[in-house]
Amino acid sequence: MVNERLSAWIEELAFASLLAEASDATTVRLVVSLLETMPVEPGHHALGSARSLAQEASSLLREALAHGGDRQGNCFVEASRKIDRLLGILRGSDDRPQAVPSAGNPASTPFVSKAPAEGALRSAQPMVCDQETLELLGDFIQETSESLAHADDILVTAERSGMSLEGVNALFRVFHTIKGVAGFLDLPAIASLAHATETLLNRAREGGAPLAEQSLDLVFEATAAMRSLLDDVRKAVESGTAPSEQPSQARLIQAMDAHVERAAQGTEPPEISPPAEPGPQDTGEGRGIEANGAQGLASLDPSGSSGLVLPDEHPLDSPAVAGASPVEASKDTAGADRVERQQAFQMIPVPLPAAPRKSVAPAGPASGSAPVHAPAEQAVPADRGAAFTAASDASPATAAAPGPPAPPPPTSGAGGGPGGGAPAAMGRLRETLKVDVERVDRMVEMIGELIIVESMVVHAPEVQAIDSVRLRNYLSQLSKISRDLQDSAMRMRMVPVQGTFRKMQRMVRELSRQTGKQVVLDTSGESTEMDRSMVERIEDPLVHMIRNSIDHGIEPAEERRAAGKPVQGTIRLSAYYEGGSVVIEMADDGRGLQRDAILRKARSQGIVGDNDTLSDQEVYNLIFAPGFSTSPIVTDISGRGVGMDVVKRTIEAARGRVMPASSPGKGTTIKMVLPLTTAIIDGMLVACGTEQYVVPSLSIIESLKPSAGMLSSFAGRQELINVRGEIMPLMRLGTLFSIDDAQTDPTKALVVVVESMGRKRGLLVDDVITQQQVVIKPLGNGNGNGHAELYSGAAIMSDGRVGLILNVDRICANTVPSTTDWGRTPMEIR
Amino acid sequence: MRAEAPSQTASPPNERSVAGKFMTFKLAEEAYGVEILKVRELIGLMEITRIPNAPHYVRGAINLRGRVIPVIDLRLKFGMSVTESTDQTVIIVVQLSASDGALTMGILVDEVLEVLNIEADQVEPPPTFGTDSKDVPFLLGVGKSEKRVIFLLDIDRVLAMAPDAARSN
Repeated sequence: MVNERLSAWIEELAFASLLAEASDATTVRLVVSLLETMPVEPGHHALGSARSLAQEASSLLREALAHGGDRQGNCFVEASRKIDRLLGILRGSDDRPQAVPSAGNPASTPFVSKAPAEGALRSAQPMVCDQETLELLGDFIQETSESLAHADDILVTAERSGMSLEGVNALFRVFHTIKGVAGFLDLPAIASLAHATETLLNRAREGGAPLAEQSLDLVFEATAAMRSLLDDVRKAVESGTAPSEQPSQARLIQAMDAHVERAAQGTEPPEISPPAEPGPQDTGEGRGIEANGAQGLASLDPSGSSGLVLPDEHPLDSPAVAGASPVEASKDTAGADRVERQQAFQMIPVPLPAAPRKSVAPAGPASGSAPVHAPAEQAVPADRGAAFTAASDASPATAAAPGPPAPPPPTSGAGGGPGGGAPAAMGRLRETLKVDVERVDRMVEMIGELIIVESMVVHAPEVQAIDSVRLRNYLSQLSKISRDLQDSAMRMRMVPVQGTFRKMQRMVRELSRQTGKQVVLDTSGESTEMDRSMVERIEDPLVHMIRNSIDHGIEPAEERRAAGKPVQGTIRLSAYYEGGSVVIEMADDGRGLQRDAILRKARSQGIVGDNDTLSDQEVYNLIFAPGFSTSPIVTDISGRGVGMDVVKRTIEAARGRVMPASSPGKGTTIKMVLPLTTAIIDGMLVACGTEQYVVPSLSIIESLKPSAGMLSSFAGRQELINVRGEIMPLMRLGTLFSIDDAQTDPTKALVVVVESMGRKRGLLVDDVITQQQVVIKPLGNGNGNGHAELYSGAAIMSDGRVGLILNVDRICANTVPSTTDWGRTPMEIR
Repeated sequence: MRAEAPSQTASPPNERSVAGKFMTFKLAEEAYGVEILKVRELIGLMEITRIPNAPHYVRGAINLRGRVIPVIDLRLKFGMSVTESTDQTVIIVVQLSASDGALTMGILVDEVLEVLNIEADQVEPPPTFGTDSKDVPFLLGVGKSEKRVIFLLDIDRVLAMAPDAARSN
């Protein structure tokens, strides 16, 4: 049955793994390369599981190569065990045909198939995860629970009024998604269950046949089983152990496979009994009754196999081969493991109700190779607390129990190395709570009010006048707690940009396919958090920016090759904090903005006068003009000149700034600087006469005291200021806002240099008071009368008064205020 | 210097009948009334932040417990001289029903008088002032009490003309 190529490969692998030493990277690499070049042999019945084993082993070894220390040892042990099994499967497949039925007659041996075998093999795999995987798992569990609830809804409706094809499709999508993600996250049990369910549903889908009642029941069962598997994973991850195998799940898969099989044969599916007794199907191995019982227990307790689990000896493991495995490595780590394990036990939170059962559970899988008395002793302290002390006390009896059997028999080399099974990385899945946004907003709003009142009280002159150290202490405590409260309230609305970035990832893939350009999206800083509403707001701009970049920025393959660039275009999307703002930056390695083309187009559209000379920045800003496009062709993707206009408007509405930068032939970078939340900005408080205004810090370049020599005027009207050689218009806040008592002599006042859209203005104010964070409040309904708004909102100051926030964009846009509506002629450039 | 508006249950007046409870106040020597259901609260005069470039009758904005609301000087709105601040000066916070959400605004008045229950037979239709009917849309009618004549304002209409209406949301 085994062809020559495969058997040669098997021998080679056996030899290589025998020689491989964890400390010698070359030998390990040889094994990896062998594992990754497993010969293809169609039709070989055990190949599926063997192949996945080979993959797992190779990835483990790669991990071992990449890491040092304990982790390396663990990975190595685990991998060698997998290789042993792999060899066992391949070599033993001829000898043990009864254990692995050929694909042709699943009906004859309905309860034994490679599915449970595979599951059982993998069950020993510990859930060792890094932080990122943890987060992914958390999301997965959350999302899957939701989609399962959705699936249940569909099923319940279907039971009442029959299953529609649409319903079947919806169910199919649910399980398909689960399968995909579970596969990615390496959750074989879930993936295989999802796969079986999907197959079942697919039959109904393709046949256009409504789901029969039995099928419906099966899908129902599948959702239930999936839930308990999810629970399993959650617990396994939290305790850093391997998820236990559920025999009922294997049975269910069986039933579904059988169902599909029969449906294919055109016969009526027989009555399928519910999975009553979860009995392990590999009883042929001759395990004791207590082993079965214990395994049953293990399956009842989803967190069943804890760190103590000795790997399940599978029937396919031929002792001869196992003996040939490198046991040294496992021995080396065993001692360390014990200590680690005990520590791990102490780390398990005491109130965990599953704790006593945890100690019992290992009896099941362990019984194959470990002495029976050891798990029994472990099980004795039924009291939770006792179990704990026992496990952590390192009293000789209990310490021995979880450890490898004292005389390590050569055949149980695998059993001696539970390194992988030890809770190496215990993680806590992030738990989330769904709360109505309105409630959160209401709370945030109330906290905002509280902060204002707090600040009013603290700053009240009457309170300030009280000369008491005690009061002062109390007040500063009050202030601190209020700030903390505000911070956490704000954080409640904060979400990472990850979700949006993922969407972009998909979009790039899609666009890349559509345009035939090879483009990849590199993302970084996905965990950067922003206010929920801000994250939503950046989505549209990002879509437009990326579309533009792929359509116009990234050159076709030939052009790229000619320019000596890699054929594959790269778009980098990054998010990071900068001061009190979040920066979302998109950079491509395309041809860059074409200054001349933009300028030519702008001149022809009359946006820019023929004789105007513009700075690079001003030219680049032209791309944000509505209806502006240099693209001669309007494609599905872009070219209408709408997109970038949307980008600018959206970002500015969110009090952010967009800054394009470009270098010809190298690419374009568009930087969006956004406030962390829409509710708070960093502002500079300036005084003018008796009035005070807030200038957003984001727009301030510097402030300076002008000397007479810096000032000049144009046509007797427009004042100018020369800031170190840079001449910019000088705007008097007092004039802009008709403030009667403003300082009229500029040399006695201060100039705040502000910038927007690459244009700078000197803003003359009487004084700069302080920098502070202010809560933005809407002011009015937007002056529907069309006259330019020089303020963008109101803020409540520390003394409780209302302060207006200057709209620097408008101020910079005009030299003479209120005469032009900047919004209608946005590209007016002077 | 703050008094919550008395709660009451009168149904809002419709076109036919403008009877009901009215919060009456004085502008100069004249008495005006707004439907009590529109009134949220009365607050004493506080520091008002001027809003530059806003219509002249918009006195500015105030901080109403964390909310910023505009304050209209009703005397300026009606073409009278600016409201001087005295002990009696009060801001009546009114809630208006706008097509796109409720608006909250403050109106600055010289003095609050009382809450009057005006019966239907005490109300005269709005008078016409010769050919000039410009002021008429503001008026629901003219109420007569024992002491004086009260101009019953349709405050929504009065303030709808104000461009700087604050939105509550």
